[in-house]
Parts: sequence; structure tokens; C-alpha cells
Amino acid sequence: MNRVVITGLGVVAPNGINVPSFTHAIRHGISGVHFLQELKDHAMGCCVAGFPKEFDDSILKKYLSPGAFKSLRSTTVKYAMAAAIEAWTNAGLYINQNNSDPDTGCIFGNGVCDVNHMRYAIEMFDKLEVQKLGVRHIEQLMTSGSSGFIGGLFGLSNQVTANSSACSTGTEAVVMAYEKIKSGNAKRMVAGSCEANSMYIWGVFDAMRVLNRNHNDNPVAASRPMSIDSAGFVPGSGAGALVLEDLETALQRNATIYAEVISGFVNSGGQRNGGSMTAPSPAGVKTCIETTIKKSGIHPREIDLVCGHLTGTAADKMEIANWAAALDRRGEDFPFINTLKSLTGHCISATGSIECVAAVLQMHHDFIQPNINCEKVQPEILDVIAEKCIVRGPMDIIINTVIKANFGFGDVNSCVLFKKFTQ
Amino acid sequence: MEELKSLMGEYMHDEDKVKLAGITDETDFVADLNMDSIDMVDVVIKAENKYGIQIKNETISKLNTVGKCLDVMQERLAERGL
Repeated sequence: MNRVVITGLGVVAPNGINVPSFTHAIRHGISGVHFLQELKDHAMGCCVAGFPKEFDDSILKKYLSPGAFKSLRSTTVKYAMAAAIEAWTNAGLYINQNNSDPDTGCIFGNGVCDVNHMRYAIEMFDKLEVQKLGVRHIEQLMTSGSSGFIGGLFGLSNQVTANSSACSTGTEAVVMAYEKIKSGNAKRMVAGSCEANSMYIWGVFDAMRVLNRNHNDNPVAASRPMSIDSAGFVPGSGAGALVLEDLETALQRNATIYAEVISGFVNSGGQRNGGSMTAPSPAGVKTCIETTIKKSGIHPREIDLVCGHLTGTAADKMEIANWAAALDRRGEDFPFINTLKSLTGHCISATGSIECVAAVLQMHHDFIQPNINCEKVQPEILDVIAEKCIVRGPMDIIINTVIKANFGFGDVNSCVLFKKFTQ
Repeated sequence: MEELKSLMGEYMHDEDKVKLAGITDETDFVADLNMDSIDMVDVVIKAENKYGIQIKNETISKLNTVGKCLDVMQERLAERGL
């Protein structure tokens, strides 16, 4: 079995639209949550969202044909391409215009296409103007649109596909890419996920009454995972991308190695025993985490940092209990824990990949990103883990092993273990 | 010809646009002008909308050169008495 390492990172996040700005933001606890008048105008209860406000799609112009760039409407595809291009160049790779690469593939997921773009196409249809729509829409509206664009850009001729598993999508993509390389079926994979800014998607969560409606006048305070007064999550968007590579190939080309992926696992709770379409089965979550650790061969005590899913809903306390049970570590023995979502909101299908990028950056640069808006922790959480485990301010500390998990609607789970690379 | 050039120019890389000055009936959109074949379909759709003509799908897929494109468009325009 091949060892698998991470050699490239790219991100379009609400609080940073490239790796340097994102690293700065997560190190210093800078939020990317903003008020959106558009949400208020459409009678949403939650009128704040985490989205890459400063994103400028003109950076894509030099990578696409004029026709493709002119027709590019999908924010899903735009974010995905920008993150993937950054990860590719960050990995020290170049774009070969002449030959395709049979050893490199792409798994880039999303939950749904850019619904704003879909709406445009539907409106044209309803106005009886479908014949004027033009030719470049289905390539952006199909679920595999992002992976298709990325594959074409880099000339990838190993597997190029899109996975979809709700909020678990991004981490699942990383695990799938890891397995592909570990088994020898690819030497390199671009893995990631993306989510468009869409009030139509955010609105259906608002209708479920799972978004925070209490901080529309103070957006930075709106995303409050683990806090005693958390009242729902904050929706978000963006993309994260990672280049995974077999160790031998990475060493041969003297690539920078950000981390080693030492294990990963994906499962479902089967929507039984407490699990449902919208709630994770505790047994399923624990099995996912336990299996990831068992397959890695490390002891749970070696884990320095847990990068949780932790959205700011009633599920946070259950997640903490599941982590404690799976790691068999409680109280002061529990590792440090954080969630990126206090800074970005919940970027839905993009969340896993953005959070994997954050997890790797924290380990690579030896710091822990603070959980903001968590001044007073839920008592049920403090019944399980010590308060000192929940980092609230910037913390520089050596991190050797990070575990990251995400859980999604459909009762689906994914978990990955990153370790600082040593020969 | 000039209107077709203008439509095509929207889909060409800046460094390729200089080639528009020397195009002939035999100029191939993909091989000579470095255009994406799917963009030629867009050019035809725009021409259809602009001139109120209809070109059959099976014909569009054969329009690989400037001359073929112009011939078909002129035929359709003639059918409309234009």
C-alpha cells in the first residue's frame, strides 16, 4: 500500500480567498460572515451568511477559452476552479497543454449545482427562449461540472468525478482520493468540494428552522458552535481543494509535503438507532471515527487536535459525546477541539474540504484556530470535556496529529487523520 | 463576412484575433483559428437570432469552415428573401 501525502492546498473561503489570506484569518480568528440585504428582502429569518465577498472571477480568464469564460455563470464552478488552480500551483505543478496525465485524477464534489444559474436557465425556458440559451450551460449545471472543468484544465486522464454526500462531501472526497492513491490506482488526485452562494438553498434550511435568526445585526457573532446561546447555523459557500500524492512521486519531484494522510473512513448510520435523514446515528458516527483511528494504527491518545463538524445547532453536544466515546478520552484528557464554522459559517457541501485545508494548515504551521463566539460553553459539553480543550484565543502549539470529521444529511459520515510528515 | 468575423471574435483568444484579417473560405474554425468547436454552435445560434433564420442541427455540425458557414447563412437568408 502506498503512503499518501498532501502537496498542494487551495481555498476560496468566506474569510480568505487564497491560502495566505485564509491562514491569516484562521490564525487570528477573523470572521467571514456578513449581513446580506438580499436575504432580508426575501423574508428569510436568518439574514447573514459566510461567503467569499472579495472573490473576483477574472483570475479564471487566463485559464479558459474566451467562449467558456464569457459563458461562465456558475459560482460553484468558479469557486471550484479557483481553489483547484491554487492547489495545483501550490503543489508546484504546471499545466501541460499538450498531453494528458493518466496517473492523475480528480474527485470534486458538491451538493447541488448553482441554483441561481439553474433559475436563469428555467426562466429562459419559461419565456419560450430556450433556443437563445446557448451551448455552455449543461457543462456548468451537471453535478460533475466542477470536476469536468478541473480535469480539462489540468489534462487529467485518471478518474475524474464528483461525489455528493451533503455536508460530508468535502471530507469524503479527500478520503476517496486517499484510497485511490493508497491502492495504487492513481499517483495523484485533486480532491475538494464547492458550494455556491444561493439564497434558494439557504432558504430551505431557513424553512427547516435550523439557521440562527438572532444575530442579523451582528453577523460576526452569528456562528456560535458549542456556545450556550447557539441558535442554529449560519449558511455559507466557497470551495477547498487539496492535491494528494503518493509519497514516492512527491519525494521524486521534491514537493513540499504539508501532511501525511494516515487513514480515512466513510460510512452511514443507516438512519437507524437515532439516525434519520437529518440526524446522525451516534453509533454510525462513533464507528466512523473508531475505524479511522484503528486503520491508522495510532493510539487515540496521540491525537493533538479534533477539527469537528460542530455547526452551532442542538447536535453539537451529541457530537462531543460521540467524539469522547470514540476516542475514549474525556475531561482534561480530551484533545484540543475546534470548528472552523465559528469563522466561516457552515459552507454546506464545501465545508469538509475547506476544513481539511484548515486542519492541514494548523498542523503545518503549528497553531490552533480559535473558536470565536463561544464565551460560555454549553453545560452538557462541559459534562464531557474540560473547558480548556475548547480553544478560544489564538494558540501557537506543536500539532503532530489532527483528526477531522464531517457528518451530513442522509446520516452519512466521513473521517480523516492527518499526521505531520516524517520519513 | 464582417459580421461573422465580429461574432467569431468574441470567442477567440486575443492573440488569435489577428488571424481574422487573413481568413478565407477555407479557414477552419478549430484548426486555423484555435476556436472551441462548441463555440461555433454559439456563433450560429447568435446569427440565427440576429437574422431570424433557422439552421438544421445536422447542418450545424458540418460547418467547420468559414465558407461553409457563410454559404448556409446566405442560403437561409435568400429563402427569406433577404
